[in-house]
Amino acid sequence: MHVGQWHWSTERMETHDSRAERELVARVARGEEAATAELLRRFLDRVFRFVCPRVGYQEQDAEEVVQETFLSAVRLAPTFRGESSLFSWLCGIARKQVFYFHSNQRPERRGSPANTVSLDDEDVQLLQAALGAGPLEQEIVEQLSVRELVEGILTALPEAEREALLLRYVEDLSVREIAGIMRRSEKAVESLLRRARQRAFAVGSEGGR
Amino acid sequence: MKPARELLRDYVAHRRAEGQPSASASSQEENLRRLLRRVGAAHQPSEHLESRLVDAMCRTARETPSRSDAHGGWPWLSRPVWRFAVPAAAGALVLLALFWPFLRPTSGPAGVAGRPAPGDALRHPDHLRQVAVPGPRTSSDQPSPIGHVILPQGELLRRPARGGDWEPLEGGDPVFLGDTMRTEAGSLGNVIFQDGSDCQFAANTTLRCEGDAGASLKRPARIQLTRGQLWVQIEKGGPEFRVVAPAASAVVQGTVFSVTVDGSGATRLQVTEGKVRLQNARGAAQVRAGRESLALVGGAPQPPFPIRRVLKPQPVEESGPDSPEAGAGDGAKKRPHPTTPGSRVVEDRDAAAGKLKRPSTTERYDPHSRPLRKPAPRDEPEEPPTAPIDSSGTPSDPETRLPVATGGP
Repeated sequence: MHVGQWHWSTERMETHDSRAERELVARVARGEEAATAELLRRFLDRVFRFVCPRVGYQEQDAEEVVQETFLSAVRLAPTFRGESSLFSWLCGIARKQVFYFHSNQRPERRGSPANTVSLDDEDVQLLQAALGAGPLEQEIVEQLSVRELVEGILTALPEAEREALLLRYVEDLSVREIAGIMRRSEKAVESLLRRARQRAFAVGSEGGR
Repeated sequence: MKPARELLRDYVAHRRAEGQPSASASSQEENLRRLLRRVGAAHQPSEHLESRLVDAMCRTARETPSRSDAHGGWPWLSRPVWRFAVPAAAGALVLLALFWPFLRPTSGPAGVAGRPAPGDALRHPDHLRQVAVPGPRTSSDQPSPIGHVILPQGELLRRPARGGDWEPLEGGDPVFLGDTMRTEAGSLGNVIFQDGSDCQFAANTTLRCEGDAGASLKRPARIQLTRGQLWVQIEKGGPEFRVVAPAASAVVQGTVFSVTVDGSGATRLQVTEGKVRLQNARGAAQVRAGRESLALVGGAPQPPFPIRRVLKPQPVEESGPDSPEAGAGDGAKKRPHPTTPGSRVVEDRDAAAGKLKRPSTTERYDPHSRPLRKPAPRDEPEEPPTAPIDSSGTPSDPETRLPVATGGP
């Protein structure tokens, strides 16, 4: 009977994926073009999505940060030991790069993005009512104005709540994986998610709005 | 583009008009998931970013030194744990080397390591009470002193168990198991052990405190008397105590007695209080209070007989400390007390029992003018020498205490 592909190491149990990711990073560190392309194919979009809300959905800024993130990953490749997933490791590097990015910004650009909305805004309350009214029609989901409204709500959220929310629903990560990326306990992540859902989108509260 | 406000208001109104039930919690969560994914999907990196990054990353990889280059061929050094562990281990080794003399376990004879330097302890008579009281041990590796010196008269020397030169002892100095002590001519030695037992020794006496270091003794299990004269008051209740002399051993449990070894090795035992068994390979004799016994080298202890002249250590004038004729008793009559000319020290029994003070009274002493308070009954038959017996046969002793004095054998 097949019981899973586990490889015993001196320190811990590790999955086959972990070994593959370590090999991939090692090959990238050696400058192998194919490995580098493979890495970017798998993680460029995800890291970009991770960075985008942190720079106020400014795509040019996000690209700048993502570029620095992957170049740093090459330099830091020897430090990757496969104890966390490769995406978590890249997210950790991206968070630092976002911090450096904001540190280098001129003071006038460090303020809140222009599309930030107040959570007491009427549009926000209408969106919350729509989320609780029933399955959203695709027409509404695709609507640009609705998307911008959601971005405004996300931007208005505290950084930790926004990050937990996006990792959970966009990247589809488990609470445990999110806790690893955010360096928080699983209970703290669950608390962040619950607070973000109820406060910003009235999801999870009794009956919605 | 239709404003979001209008779009959402129409949608909600439409749902309510149709009487649709509210979305469940899971349905709301699914709505949220769709919205957030749509937002995420709306932001994509530019088409050229990937190709630019591939070139840049490969170039960076080639310019970055490899792990083995960065750590001189020791790639494991790149792991953070080793970066801290290696210096920490090196530091610990340096500290261990520095403190090794204080940390190493004692391997030599008992009572050697951790010995304070001579004269470190309290020297003033007022402090002797504190000195004689057993103090808490500061370290499990540091041996406790077995006793303390009480203001020696003349010169009292000690050779530690670890060997080395003779070193002078002063009042308050600690005495350890394994120490060999020696008095010079005209000197008196006095040691109070931790249990309060009092040990005084005359001039030209050499003795050694012995016992099992691991038994946490408060007095030595035995004193090896090589030469000279020893006067001992042993506290009751402790383990067996014996004085081992060349011709015989005196085994006691709590009493007052003196043992004298003359130049030929003959051992004289005088018992002032309680009972003491004088024994050797050829026999044994139970000696009661007020009686004495003599064991010659190669012979059994003689039957006890009444003490004719009480022996008590006192300083004597001697031609040389190592002279075999350096019997304390003979010289005691000739040599007055060095600090109180013309007089001899009479031990204040309360002070001696208190184990702390030097004699508090000094008076002229005539051993014959102070009769023993509890002489042995004259009608009691003398105990004949018996076959060698073991130490378990040591009888208990009476509570009576008797004054003692010294004299030559």
